[in-house]
Amino acid sequence: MLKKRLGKKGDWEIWLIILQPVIIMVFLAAFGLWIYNLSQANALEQLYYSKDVPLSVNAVYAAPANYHFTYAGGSVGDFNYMFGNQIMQVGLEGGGDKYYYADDLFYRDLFPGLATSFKPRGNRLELDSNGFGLSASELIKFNKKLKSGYLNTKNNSWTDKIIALKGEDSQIIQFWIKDGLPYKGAEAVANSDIYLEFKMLEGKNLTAYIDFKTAEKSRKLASIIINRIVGRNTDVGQINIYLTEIADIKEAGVILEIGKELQLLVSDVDESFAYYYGGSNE
Amino acid sequence: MKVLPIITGEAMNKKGAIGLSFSQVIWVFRLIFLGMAIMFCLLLILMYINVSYASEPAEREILIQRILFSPNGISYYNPLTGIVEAGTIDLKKFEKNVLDKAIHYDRDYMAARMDLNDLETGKPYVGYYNKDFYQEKIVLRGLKGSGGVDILERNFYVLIKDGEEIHNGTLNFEVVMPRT
Repeated sequence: MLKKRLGKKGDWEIWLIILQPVIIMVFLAAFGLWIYNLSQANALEQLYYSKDVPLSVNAVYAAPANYHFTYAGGSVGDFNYMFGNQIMQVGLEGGGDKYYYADDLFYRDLFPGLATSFKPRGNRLELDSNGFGLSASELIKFNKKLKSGYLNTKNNSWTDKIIALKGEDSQIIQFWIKDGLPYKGAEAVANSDIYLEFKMLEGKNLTAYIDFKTAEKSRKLASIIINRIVGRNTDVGQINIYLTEIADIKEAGVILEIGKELQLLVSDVDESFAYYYGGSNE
Repeated sequence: MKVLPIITGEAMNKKGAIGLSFSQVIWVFRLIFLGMAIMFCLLLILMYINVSYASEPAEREILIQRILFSPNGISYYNPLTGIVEAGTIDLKKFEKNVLDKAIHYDRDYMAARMDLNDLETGKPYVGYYNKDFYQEKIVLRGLKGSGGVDILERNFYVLIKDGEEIHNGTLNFEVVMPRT
C-alpha cells in the first residue's frame, strides 16, 4: 500500500513523513561527527595547551629570580611545541593552534628569547628562567646563566679605556687600549679601568672573584663572561661569585677561575667587552 | 484538496497561482517546529561543550606581575644579591622606559599606563608600557562589543627609590587590551 501511495503523483505527505527522521538523522550525524573529531584529534587539549603554555611562559618570566617550572600531566606529551618570535604553536604534526607570549629581550645578545621546537618525552615540559632569559625543553636542563642586572655601562667611546688581561702564568698578556694603541707595562695594571685575570683549575667549575669596591659593574662583567662560557659548554659544574679586593681598579675587576674541562675562546672575551660597553642595556 | 481560506481571493483565482492546503500549512509549521526542537537540543548539548578558553583576564594580571616582579621590570634589582626588591620602584628604570624591551610581543597586544605618586614630595611620575598603542586604544574605553577594549586597574602602595633616597608612594596600573 505504501508503495502504491509513494508512486502516486503529487502525494507529497508521505515524503514529508520520511523527511522528518532524515533531517533529524542528518543533524545528529553531523553533530556526532563534529564531537567525534573533537575527541579524536585532541582538539580541545590542543587548544587548551596553546593558551595555557604561553600563559605559563609569561608567568615564569615574571619570576623575580631563578625559577624552574615543570608543566606536567594531562596529554602534554602528545603534542609538538614550537616556540619562536613570541608565538607558540602546538599541534600533533606541525601546524596547530598558536598563541602569543612576550619574550624578555632587554639583554637580547645574551638572552635572545625562546626559539625551540620539540615533543616532550615523559609527558613533561620544562620551563627554566634565570630571571632574564628563559628556555623551554622536553627534559630538565637547568639554565646556569647569570643575571647581570640593569646597570648602564654603555659607552661608545671605550677605546680610551685601559683593560688589563692577565693569563695563568701571572704575566700580563695584553693591554687594551689607550688612545687606540695597545701597550704593555706593569704600572698599567694599577691604573687600568678594567682588570681581568684568568686562572685554570681542575674540573668544570667556574668561580669569579669580583672587586668589592666596584662590585656592581664587576659582577656585570663577570656575569657576561660566564654566560659566554656557559653558552659554549654544555656541561658546566658549579658557578660561584665572591667578593674580593683588587687594588686600584677604576671600573671593574674580575679574577676568573675556569675548570680545564671548559672551553673559552678569545673571541668570547672580546665579545664580552663589546657587550659590556655597547650591549643593549639602554 | 482543501484550499486555505487565507489564500483565497484575487491571487487564488489567477491561473497558475500557488495555493496551500490546510495540511500543507500544518506541515510547514511542523517542519519549523522540528527545526526548533533540533536547535534546542543542540543548544542544550553545546552548553556542556566548551571549545574556547578565555585567558585574557589572566594575561592582564600577569602583565602587572611581570612589570612589578621581573628583574627587568620597574622594581629595584640588586645586582649583588641577584634579588628583585619587589615593591621598591627604581625611579631610574621607571623613567627610562625599560619595559618595551623587557616585555616584547611580536605585535601590539597590550599596553599599560603607570602613575607613580611620591607621597612625601607630592611629585607625580607617569610611565608607559607600549605607549603608542596605549594612546591609540585608550580612546575606545567604554565601547561595548568586539571593537572595544578591556581595562584592568590595580593600585599598590610602594617604595620609590630615587638614588639613595627611599620615599613612600602609590602606583596605579591601567592595563589596556583590545577585545579582538
